[in-house]
Amino acid sequence: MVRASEVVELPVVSIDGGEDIAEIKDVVFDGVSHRLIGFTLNKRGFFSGSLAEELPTEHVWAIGPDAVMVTSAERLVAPGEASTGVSGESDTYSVGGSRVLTSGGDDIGEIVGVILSTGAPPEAVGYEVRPEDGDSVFVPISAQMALSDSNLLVPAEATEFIRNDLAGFGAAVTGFRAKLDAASPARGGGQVATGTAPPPPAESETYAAPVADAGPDQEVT
Amino acid sequence: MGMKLTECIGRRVIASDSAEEIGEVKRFVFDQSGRSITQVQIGGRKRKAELVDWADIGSFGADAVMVTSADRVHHPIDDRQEAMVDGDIAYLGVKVLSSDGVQVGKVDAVHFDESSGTVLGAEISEGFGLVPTDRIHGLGSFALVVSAPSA
Repeated sequence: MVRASEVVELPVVSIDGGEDIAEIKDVVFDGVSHRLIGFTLNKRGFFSGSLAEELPTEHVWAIGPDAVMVTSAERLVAPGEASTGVSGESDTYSVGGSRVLTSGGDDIGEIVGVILSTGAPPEAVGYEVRPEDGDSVFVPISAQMALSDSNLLVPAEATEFIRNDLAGFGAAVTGFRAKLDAASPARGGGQVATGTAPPPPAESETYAAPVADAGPDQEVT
Repeated sequence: MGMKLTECIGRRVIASDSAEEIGEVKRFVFDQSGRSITQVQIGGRKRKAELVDWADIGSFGADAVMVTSADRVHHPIDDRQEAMVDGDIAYLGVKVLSSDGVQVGKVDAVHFDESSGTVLGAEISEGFGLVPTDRIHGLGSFALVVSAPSA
């Protein structure tokens, strides 16, 4: 689990080359479908400016505390080439500032950030919500969340998985998803709250496993 | 296991066909995967960097490195060779990142097989220990990338 804001400025490193090929400029998040789309990039180094290429979320191998890892430099894509549209109309913080209400009518607070899972590929799994008084709480993302211009509604089944520490939030997300799976084994249409939500990102054919099992003799000529 | 890079620095390099001493081992050039030596840099004779391909080394001996012929020596011919000769990419001391994006230490030592030029493993500082070849993925100017501990 990592705050989206903490990913900004991390280097993007190729696993097969050990090169820092870019750094994260911004996190592109679709507030309507609650999905992580990808990342815009800067060149490495101070004052180096923007990089035209983008990094779609399904091309990310892992997000770590020290780097965002991609299998190779070819995982960066030209602008507009990503199937999910990193440079589209999605907006990083379109949900920022929204009030979060439970289905019971309680106002939990205001959205101040997005929480990402770190795996291959990462996804948006929660919102960080700041109450009027006190510390942040973490609300698991579900596709059933209704979002208006100013309010996000947390479905009743998610409220028991709200946590007040990020360390414990990972287990809460796992538990929440298990509950959703049990309720809807296919995880089909019920997941999508609006007819306008884009399809889920392409699955794993887009990234190859690191060459962990290639023998040393393969490399010698 | 094998030989350490640092043990080989300064070893004499001899041409097999003429018995001429060409120079001494100065540095090693590794492929992008960080798994094998592609060239040996020879120092001590000229100012411009001189390399010999691993394929032209007949024997990497304990006292001398035998190169088939002095005319096999060449200058860097690509960006990789230039970067390693200039020290922009260096195995020893490079930061080590796991494939899940965690910095785990730095490279303290590299072991290689003197008959094939294959890297046998890299010793990582800070208690991470020895990383065998099949867990090494890439060597660049930024980092050596190794498998995540659980992978």
